[in-house]
Amino acid sequence: MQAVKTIYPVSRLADLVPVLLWAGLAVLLAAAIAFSGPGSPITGLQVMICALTLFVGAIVASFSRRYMRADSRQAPFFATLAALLASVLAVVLAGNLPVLAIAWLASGLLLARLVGHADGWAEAQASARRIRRTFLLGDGALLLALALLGLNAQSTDITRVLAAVPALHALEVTVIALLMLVAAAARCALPPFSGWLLSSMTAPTPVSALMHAGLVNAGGFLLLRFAPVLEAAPLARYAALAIGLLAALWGLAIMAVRPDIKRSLAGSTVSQMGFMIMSCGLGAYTAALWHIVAHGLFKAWLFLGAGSALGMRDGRDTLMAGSRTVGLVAALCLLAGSYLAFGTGMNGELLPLMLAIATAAATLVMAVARASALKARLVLLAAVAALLGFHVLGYALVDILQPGEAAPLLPPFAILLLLACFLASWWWQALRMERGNSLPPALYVRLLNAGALAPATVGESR
Amino acid sequence: MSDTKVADIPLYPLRKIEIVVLAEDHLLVQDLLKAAGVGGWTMIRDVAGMGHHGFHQGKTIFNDQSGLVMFLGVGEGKVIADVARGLSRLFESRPGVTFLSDVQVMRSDYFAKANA
Amino acid sequence: MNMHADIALAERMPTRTEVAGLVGLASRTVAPLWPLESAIAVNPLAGFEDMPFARAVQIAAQRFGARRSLPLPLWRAVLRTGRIEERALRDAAIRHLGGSLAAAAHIAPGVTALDLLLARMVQIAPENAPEQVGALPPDAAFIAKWCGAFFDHGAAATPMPHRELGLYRAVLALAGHDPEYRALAGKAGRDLLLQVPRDPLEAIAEGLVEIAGEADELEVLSSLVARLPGWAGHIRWRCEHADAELVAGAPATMADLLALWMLLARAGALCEGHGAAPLRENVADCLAGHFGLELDALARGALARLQAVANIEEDALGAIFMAAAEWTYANDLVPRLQGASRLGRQGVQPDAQLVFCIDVRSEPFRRALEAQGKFETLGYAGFFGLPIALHPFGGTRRSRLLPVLLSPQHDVAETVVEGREAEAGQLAEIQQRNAAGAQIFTAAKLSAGMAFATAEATGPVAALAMMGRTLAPRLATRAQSVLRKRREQAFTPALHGPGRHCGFSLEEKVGYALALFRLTGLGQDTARLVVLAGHGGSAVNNPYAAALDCGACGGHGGGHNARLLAAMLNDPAVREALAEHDVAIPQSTLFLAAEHDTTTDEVRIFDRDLVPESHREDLARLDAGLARAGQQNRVRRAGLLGRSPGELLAGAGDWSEVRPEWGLAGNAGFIVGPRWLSQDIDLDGRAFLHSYDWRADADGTALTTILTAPMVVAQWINCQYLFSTIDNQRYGSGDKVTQNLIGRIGVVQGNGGDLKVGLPRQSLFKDDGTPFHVPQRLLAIVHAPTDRVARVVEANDILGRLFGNGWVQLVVIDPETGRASRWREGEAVPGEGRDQHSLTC
Repeated sequence: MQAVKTIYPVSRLADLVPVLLWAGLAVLLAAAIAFSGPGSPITGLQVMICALTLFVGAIVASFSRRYMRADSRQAPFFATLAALLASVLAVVLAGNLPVLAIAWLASGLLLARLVGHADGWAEAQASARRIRRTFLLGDGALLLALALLGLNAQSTDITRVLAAVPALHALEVTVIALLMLVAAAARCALPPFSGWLLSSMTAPTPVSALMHAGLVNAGGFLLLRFAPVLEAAPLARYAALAIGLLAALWGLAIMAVRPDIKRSLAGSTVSQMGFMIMSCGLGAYTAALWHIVAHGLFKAWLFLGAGSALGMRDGRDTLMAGSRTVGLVAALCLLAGSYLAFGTGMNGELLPLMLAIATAAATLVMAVARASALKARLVLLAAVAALLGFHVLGYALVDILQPGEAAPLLPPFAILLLLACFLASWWWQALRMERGNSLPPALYVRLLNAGALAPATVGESR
Repeated sequence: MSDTKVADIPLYPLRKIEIVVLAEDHLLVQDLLKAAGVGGWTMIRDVAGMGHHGFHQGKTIFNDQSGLVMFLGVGEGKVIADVARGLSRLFESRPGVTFLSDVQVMRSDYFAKANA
Repeated sequence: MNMHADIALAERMPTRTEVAGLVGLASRTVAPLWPLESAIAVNPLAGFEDMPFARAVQIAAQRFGARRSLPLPLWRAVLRTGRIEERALRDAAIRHLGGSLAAAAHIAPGVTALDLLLARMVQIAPENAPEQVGALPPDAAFIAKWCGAFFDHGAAATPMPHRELGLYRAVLALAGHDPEYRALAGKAGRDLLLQVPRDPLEAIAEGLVEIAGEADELEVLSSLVARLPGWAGHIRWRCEHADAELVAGAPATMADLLALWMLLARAGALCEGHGAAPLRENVADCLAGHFGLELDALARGALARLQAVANIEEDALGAIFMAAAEWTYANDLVPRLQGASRLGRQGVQPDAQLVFCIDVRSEPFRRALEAQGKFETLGYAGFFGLPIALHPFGGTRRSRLLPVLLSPQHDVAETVVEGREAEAGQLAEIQQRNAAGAQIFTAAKLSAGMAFATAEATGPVAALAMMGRTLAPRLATRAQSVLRKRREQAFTPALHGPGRHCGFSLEEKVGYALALFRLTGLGQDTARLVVLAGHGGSAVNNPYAAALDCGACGGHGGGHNARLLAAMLNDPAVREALAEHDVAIPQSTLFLAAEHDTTTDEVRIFDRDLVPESHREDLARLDAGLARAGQQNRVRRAGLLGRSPGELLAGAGDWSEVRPEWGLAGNAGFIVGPRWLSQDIDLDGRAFLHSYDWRADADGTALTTILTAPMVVAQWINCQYLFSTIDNQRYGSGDKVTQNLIGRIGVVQGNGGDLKVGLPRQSLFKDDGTPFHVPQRLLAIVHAPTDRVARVVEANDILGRLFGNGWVQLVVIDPETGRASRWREGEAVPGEGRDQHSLTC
């Protein structure tokens, strides 16, 4: 019997799309550098988000070349992927309202199609339907808000629309801002809209990676682009703060409870998006934008590497820092934070900054405690220092590109209270883990069920 | 319950059950014994035997699941009868034999029903 | 009167013991499912092996709602590739119709029944059943969800509360809070939660009384177990094969699972089972139309015959195809082996002998190597006969490096190689540091204070990592192999253990050494170099990576076992004792250990520094041969995968590669005999090869050992591939791209549901959707006297079962007469009515 030799032509689109995306990224970076400086046609915000989208898109497309090789519908997959990325770019680069709206709608529909890509699978179709339903609500709110803005400014050009915002009546602008918040929350999968993201595991892994990295942050982009609207409506800012805070803690709880890796990562995304929206509400735009970019890269990497989550582990392996360490770090941070808040007048950026410092401190302590040899400790410390350095550099870069900040929303003590909220939850987590307590049953069940699709009717499970 | 004495050693009457099954079924029998509450049992491996299906060799060197094993368990009449009832269901589909007999033991507390 | 009814009810209730027995029998419906980190191939229909193959497939299909055969279009694709010959297809069709006479029955001028049947198989368009995979019904989804939470093994930072109570009682405690349970069971369900017994066996007993009614209790329980074969299989693994301390924190038995099903059943929440596929209506018309006949114009007898052919189900057509595939394979292979048997051995003293695992992937490499020089290769079980469990250096858990049919007899510790203490210390440090880093990272991701800053800080690093892994995968492969080589040089499994790890006594060592010679027929005049080569695969970011490793070593690489046996065979005391057993190995022989990486086709020889000066030249020649053979084999395998050899190498370290190698796909035969029998035949990587010399095995113990262990493992592998191909959704694990790792032990598809058994689509099907693995039963070919084989089969239950029920086909090539005989599958109980007849040869 001779060996069976066949040629398997990888779909040509599969070869073309990654190349296009990498080329697009290069072009974008070149253009950004060439046209930098005031008076440039695109803002730093747009450059950053486009760069993120193109980068993650290129990585996902290159990944999919091999990963999706056995897919029966490769060409439609790559075509939809390319179209989705194009629509996201259109949303980001749009100069006028109709383009923005159409591209926004298109990106939602294309995303739903990719999530339901698997042919003939009832669950995938159900997930896709859920996405379309949720986005219907959010997109409807957005269309209404954009229409109101356009009517007020008598123009479709976004710059002119934003310039005309101060002319709006307070009630009007609040309504518009709240509508935009609803649209952002739907796209960012904040509760009560988190269901669609938590049940989207039927998507192929690269699609999930792209979704969590480059698509859910569309909500954040919206709020940043239309920042003047948000700033003119303090009620909306408070709402963003509240919903963001809730999402941040709720998402982390879901992440801690889910046994399957993809839904656990989805819970993490909900939490991170909540934090980002909260930063938007507080007016810390630099922090929010940096969070969008860095989290996108982080989440894409985790998702694409989700196939390595194997190997039975002892529960003891994931012990966090002891509650005493956490308590100490938290107290010190609060102290430092009070100084900064009352002394230097730092407001919205205080929260991410203090959390970063707390993280660095706690990580250093854990590194010293876990590793026993001196050399190992030094290496771990160096790693932490390097990460901290990257963080600072990234933040500085974003700061240069996106210099705007909003007026502070909360008085200093409220900011400290917010900080204390996070630090207290952290301390409570550490305490509970140390004592071996589990969550109260009712809460556990609630978290476990979060995002579950409605029970299917009895299908012909073939 | 009358005690018989043989040369000053007190002996207590109990029931004994001996079960010979395929080695691959030994977990089934263990579950049965545990569920009935038999305190402990002896298992003899690598048993060979002759039966309706021919002669079974002892275990082969690379396969623990071939060959036969034999269980020996002792307990009160009710408990052993329970085990036998459970086994009868097993023997409807799996090969094996079981023997029940009366037996006398030296330490009756040792064979008391396991704490459920 | 009511009182009598109650007494009757109480009398009918089974006792705990009876229920325990029933539960034990019912749990046999599914096979144990190993966690993916040490994936073992098992037959998904292992509980049905008592029945003849065809009947088992039918009953299992009913139980699990699965298909009985590969769909017709896919069979036709296999036919086009040439794995099925037209002639064999005709013969199989004739047999199905009942013989040549019935096949030639007249339907119309020029049209016989055989023509009709062949047209149905090859030409008529099959029914266009859309591949709709329905969602799991709500009752199964509920239990699957709780199983997922309960059996989590380190994925979730917050484990399920009350796990120490056991699966049943823990879910009882939490179900009251679960809105899904309320939706399923309603108020009745809530009341039940309070009333139902806390002991799972009693709960099942009560449930059986209430719902079983007239039906057989065992049937009821078996069908419930079969509703979630993945989780049930996992429970069986926990109860029967897992180390006790691993699962102590969350005890679960099959009784727990069945008690949960009983709870739902009593609450009226059970959903209907699987519907039957509708039979196609107008086949007769299609057939008639195809041949240009008028149905009304046919004679009565002809019409009846046409209807009979039209009524054959598509599954039966698939069975005909399978038989044709098996016959094609046998008709090609057996005569060639017979021819070689008649020619006999052409003896040439080899420069080196290599002992490989029986795995099908060894065969092409062996062929390539034998072409490079005077190398002789043999096949032996991949664990080299050593029933060990290894305690890795710096690790807490032991790995079982032996077939799952055995339990470990020796605990071996991994120790530092002499003279490499510094290196070992460094590696241990690096390992510990990486572990600490990973722990910190995991903790940081979910602490409320650290999660956000961690995401921000790690983002840029993640970008670099992604770029590196996607655009330069070969760097990753190289780094991986460098690290592995360093580890293998610094650590080795210890032959003599201190303290609590028992070593090997001299008798044991001699026993294992002798087993190698006895079972493979390796002569005592060994070559200057004898290499014991285990094997393993390499893949990254791949849940099924362990499925590419050696199944005989419990889903791990075979290098450790090889090293131990080589050390034993080099021991002078052992050689002395062997000489007393008539195995006098020459002084000049040196035993080496190696591991064959089946993904990259590299053979890494261990402990090269210990090779004395005298053998350096031989080793250099061997190295050259191995390198050339590896290159050749890579080219061949790359062609099968549709890539370039360079891409194949990169694939071993590429995180996006779903198919780094074909693994054991294509397996079809198991040849027990000397290598010279099959040496000149290109077996195309489809045969397991175990060396056996019938002359050296007068009493048949070696043959018994080979057939009752390695062949059984091969049958499991064959059945897993077979059924995973036939129905990839039910018996296999579906498409890899939508898999979701759960609990660090297995995968589910999409959002949740049953734990998946079997192999993913990508391991079995080519990119264009046609099967790469041809679903056919294993063909065992034994080169030994017929009466010896008959004796061995009669003396061992398991062989009678496998051969008698047609799970494995047995062909015996008698070396003395040269005739080939086939073991005929009997319907009767093993021990009665077996006879043999010759193949046409």
